[in-house]
Amino acid sequence: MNLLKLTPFMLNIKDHYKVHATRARRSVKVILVAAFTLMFMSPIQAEPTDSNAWLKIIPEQCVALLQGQECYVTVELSWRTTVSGNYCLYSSLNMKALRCWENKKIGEFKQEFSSKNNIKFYLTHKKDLENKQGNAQKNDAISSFNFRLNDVASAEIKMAWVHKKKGKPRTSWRMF
Amino acid sequence: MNKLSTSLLASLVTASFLLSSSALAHDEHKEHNHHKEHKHHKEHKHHKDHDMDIDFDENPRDGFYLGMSAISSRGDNFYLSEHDTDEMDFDLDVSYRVQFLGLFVESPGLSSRRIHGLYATPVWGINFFNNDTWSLDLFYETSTKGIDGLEGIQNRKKAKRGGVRATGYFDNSQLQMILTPYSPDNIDSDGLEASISYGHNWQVKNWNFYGNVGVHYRSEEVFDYSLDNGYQSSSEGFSSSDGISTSAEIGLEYPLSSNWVFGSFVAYRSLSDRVIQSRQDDVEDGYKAGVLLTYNF
Repeated sequence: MNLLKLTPFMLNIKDHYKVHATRARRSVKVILVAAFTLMFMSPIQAEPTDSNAWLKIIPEQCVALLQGQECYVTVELSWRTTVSGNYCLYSSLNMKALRCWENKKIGEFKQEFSSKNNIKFYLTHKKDLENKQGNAQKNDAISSFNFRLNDVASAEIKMAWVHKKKGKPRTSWRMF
Repeated sequence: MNKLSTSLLASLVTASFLLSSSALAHDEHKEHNHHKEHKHHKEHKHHKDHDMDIDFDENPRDGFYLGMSAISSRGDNFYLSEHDTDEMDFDLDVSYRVQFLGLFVESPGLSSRRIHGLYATPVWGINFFNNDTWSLDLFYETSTKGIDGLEGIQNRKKAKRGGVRATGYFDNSQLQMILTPYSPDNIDSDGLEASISYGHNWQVKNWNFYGNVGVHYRSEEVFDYSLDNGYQSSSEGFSSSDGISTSAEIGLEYPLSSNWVFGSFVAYRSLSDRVIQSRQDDVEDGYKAGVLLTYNF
């Protein structure tokens, strides 16, 4: 008698897990479809990564006297790739290319920058630039995403300072 | 059959209890995460109850600064019979400030103007108030010794003093007021010493130029140091009035790295009228200029 009463309850649990499993499968499908759609909707496809390419910057650090001050630095960049091609150099300070090279596999660049935050430099394929110009009206964030996707090499200048703001101690006790 | 159904029921009840308790725990976890940012401070204290962890961040000035400077300077000296000196002075100065749970000890130097201010002396004390701009300290001097590199033009005094200090830290400037009504070394009245100073900082590329100006007051009970008379008491007629002196400094600093800083300065100090009157010469003020190289730890 008791067993008879329990049977519908057990069936309910079974159904409950079935529903959850179906939902999970649907979610996975949706994610996969979305991922593929994003990949093919993207106007620029990723170039094969040049693992031997490098971008060097001198200096690697800019030091201001006080935390929060603008730091001025003359940056010397040099880059090398294994394959000759059309490349452009970008910084995190500006969406415009700092300089582009055509049919080159090495390059140098020198310019003064000022910033309160770390500056990142990216070397990308020029094809990406042309696509970007072609889609000038498109959302900058999307373009930026595509550029990040196709970085051949990148490097960063870190901002540092000697004294903290407003007389605060240089070193606090918190060590961990 | 009954036995089987009873044990099955018991299993189900236990499972449902376990599920509900784990669900509850999960909800608590979610709640915990949801309010994590808002409750950070409280949780830290709660954590502290169990782990005896000390929240060092409660006082924003807790921490330490240590700088060592090599100073080469040249200029006047109030305390030599030959006031104008052509000799180069070389000093090795250690400037520090250590604060723990509001209690601090510090020894100011030329390299730490932006922390200590213009008229700060070696002191210990308690930092009892801070907001975004102002910092208030109660302090007592550990020495009447001045700052290395400026010793020749410092307005020295006899006794150590204690009082209150307010320092306002603004974006590119600093205002400091010091009031010391207490001096256990004085025999009669403690007297009063007070000062107000203002410093401003200008940035040109990575060079930093600064200018400091200040006014310093000593009541007649606070004994100055004089070349001819040493430390004199008011009964001998030396300190029969109060005195006001002025100070000004300009300088520059350039960070060579996050530890090394190159600096240069020109400092001016006037003597108070009562000190001028007590001197046998006609010296009224003095200058000192120099360069320094500082390593900040």
